[in-house]
Amino acid sequence: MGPKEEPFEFRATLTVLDQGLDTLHQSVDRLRQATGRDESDPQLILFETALGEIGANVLTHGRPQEVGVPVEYMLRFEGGTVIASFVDPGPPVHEHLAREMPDVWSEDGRGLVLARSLLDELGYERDGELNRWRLVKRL
Amino acid sequence: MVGAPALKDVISEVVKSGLPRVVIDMEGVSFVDSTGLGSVISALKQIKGSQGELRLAAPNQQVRVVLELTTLDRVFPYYATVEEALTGF
Repeated sequence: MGPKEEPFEFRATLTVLDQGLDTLHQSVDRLRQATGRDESDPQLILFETALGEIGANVLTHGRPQEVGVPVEYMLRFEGGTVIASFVDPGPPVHEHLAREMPDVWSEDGRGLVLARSLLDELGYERDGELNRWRLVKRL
Repeated sequence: MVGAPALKDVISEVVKSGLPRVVIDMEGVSFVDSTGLGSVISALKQIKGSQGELRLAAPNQQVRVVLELTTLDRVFPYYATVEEALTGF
């Protein structure tokens, strides 16, 4: 049987990096189960990689533990497209979004560039004191 | 990412032992992100600084994709199995 196309939605609040990343991967596992996809589904692997990068960035630099406001996370699948969103209370990140891939010996600076290259759409907007992220990939 | 500090400690010990030749068995690694890559790059720098060599064995599909997209496959030769990685090492 091929993948199922029923709508799917998952919501969570994230506060800590390691547990938050676990929750992101669990949400993708649930999406796999709900849509009949296996672990080798190439588009979902690419999406999960991008999700991990943005999630790690949000949970590291969004600093929810300092301001006491958790990161809001939502994962949705509808009409063959998977959409994730994060809302975090961290500082604005506009200047990081235009980065290029660093050279091979750099030990950091790849996350956002990698995520951008893996998604059909990476949306970001500053909304008052919040950052709003939107990750879109057609499966 | 959870394994990154442990990797750093292991590599530091190996480098102390002399000419380091290291194969990292990736078979149990289901997912790698850019933070994990940074740890492996740090390890490679340590090993190269001691005239050694680092190879990756048995990376899964996700790890291979990340290595290729970041062009790190140029500096990390990877092999299907540990045995292959050890050949001619």
